Amino acid sequence: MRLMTGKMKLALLILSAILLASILAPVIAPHDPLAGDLKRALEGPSAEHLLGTDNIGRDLLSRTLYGGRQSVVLALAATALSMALGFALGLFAGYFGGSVDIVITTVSNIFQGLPGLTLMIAVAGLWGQGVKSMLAAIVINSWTGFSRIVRGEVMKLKQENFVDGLRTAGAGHGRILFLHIAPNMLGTLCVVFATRVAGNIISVASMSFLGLGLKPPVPDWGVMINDARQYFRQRPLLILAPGLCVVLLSLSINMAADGLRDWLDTRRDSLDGNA
Amino acid sequence: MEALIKYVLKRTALLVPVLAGISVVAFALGAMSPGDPVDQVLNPSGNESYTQEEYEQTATRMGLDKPVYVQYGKWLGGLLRGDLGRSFFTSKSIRDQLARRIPVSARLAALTMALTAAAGVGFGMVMAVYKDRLPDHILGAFSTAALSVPGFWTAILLIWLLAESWRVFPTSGIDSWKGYVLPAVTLALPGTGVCARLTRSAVLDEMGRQYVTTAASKGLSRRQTAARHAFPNTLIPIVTYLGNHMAGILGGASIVETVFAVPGIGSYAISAVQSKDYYVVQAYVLFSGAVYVAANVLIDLFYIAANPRIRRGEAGR
Repeated sequence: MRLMTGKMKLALLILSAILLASILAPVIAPHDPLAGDLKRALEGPSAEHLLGTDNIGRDLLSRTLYGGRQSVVLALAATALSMALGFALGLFAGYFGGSVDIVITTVSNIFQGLPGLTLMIAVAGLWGQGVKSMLAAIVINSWTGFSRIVRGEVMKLKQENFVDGLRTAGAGHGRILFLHIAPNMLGTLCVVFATRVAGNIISVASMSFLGLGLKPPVPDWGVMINDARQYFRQRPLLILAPGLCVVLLSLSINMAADGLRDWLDTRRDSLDGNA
Repeated sequence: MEALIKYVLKRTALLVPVLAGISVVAFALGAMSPGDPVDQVLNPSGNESYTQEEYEQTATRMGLDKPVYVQYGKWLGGLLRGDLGRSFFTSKSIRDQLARRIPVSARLAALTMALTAAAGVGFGMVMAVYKDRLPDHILGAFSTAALSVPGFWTAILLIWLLAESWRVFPTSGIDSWKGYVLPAVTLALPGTGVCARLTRSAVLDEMGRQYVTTAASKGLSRRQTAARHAFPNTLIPIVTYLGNHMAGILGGASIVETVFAVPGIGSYAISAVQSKDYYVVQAYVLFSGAVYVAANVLIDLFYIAANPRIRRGEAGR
């Protein structure tokens, strides 16, 4: 099976379009996303404001273009941190087993038992609004997703013949772990990473929507939807534009993750001789 | 039988440190927050003044003059006696609030669960039976899309379309059973996607096994083999997922409860977070953790019921 199926191409096309638009926002946005004109509030689409304006007369298109810049970087950074933490702990737990495993698994079960999104909201809300709290909130909530999978994979991999061979040949733990076991999990990790990024983009938007994440007047999709709660009946685009951006972004990432997973599965099957 | 009791005890014993750890995290969440609760109680509006003496009296009354570990001990002691403390602001007993709100969240979780299980398993079976054909592609796309939509956005759209424009359902509140429908649909959406994919891959795994080939060679159709022979063997991953998901919804429906104004524990937690009423948040986190632990005990019991090998003590896990 090829990696670049039609679905994968579509996913990457949407993903790169959204990312490019966000990166190039300062160049391509027709207006300043923060400059409002109260006399022109809640206007419908026009040549000057292609998507219309919001309740204080800011250009909706410009705000939408800018709207992912902070939340996407935040979601990526937080997921990368979670992966680093979960990867290291999962690796040790799975490879060394015994009491190391019991301690790490118990800690991971504790964090697994905390109430997901609500815990994130609690951390972000109680520890003071801002990027640092959101980062902490996401890492606290996401690292177990990585450690559990890494632990399982390592336990499977360390029973393979090649690990015995390496050990007989005198390779140390560090060498076996990082040069031989870790690369074998790269594909799986990419899939989990992508899925988590998609989820965390939604989490960041949710926190901002509740007023506990990014602060207005920052042009951010979650903040924009919250700002528009009173006005969207008159101008539905105010919630449709930012909402669709969140949906399309996380959908395209999820689709790419699916494609990658299918490809890895068929490759693994053919290596095992089942395909 | 002895092996069975030993197994159950061993599994339960593993959960005690988890529950203890959750209580520490729940407590730390409040204790580590930067706000000063004494100031918040004495000065809720932000422009009232109080003397140092008043401050110290209030701190003593709230037990905040003691070191953190003593506070944790007192909190834990209270918990064991069923006393979850009082809200900073309303002075209402947190236990009474939870007792009133838990049934509401439980009803919402139960309805969500029913929808998730029915639609998820149903879609997953159809996808497995029609693998790589049109129904598989359509439901597959739906499953991925369902995972990608933020709950708060779905909630706003559903309120707008079905409650305000067409007036099929109430916009908020739970005056009748209808009030639960839209929140449950919103909450069920992502879980349905996950459950459908899980069911599909579990059923397809089983379909490749010899006993299914045998059943097929006896003349059963693909649909019959999938439903009668492969499906029962896929229950373990599906029940594991649904059990954890149910626990998650019971504690994690906060945003959806808030948008739909459902007076459950999730919306209670969010309003407590927004007013930094951290005794409430601590109690809430602990409650959700306890639900998670309880769900895992139930899932384990299900494994035993479903797998005779564990019952006979043959399986190590």
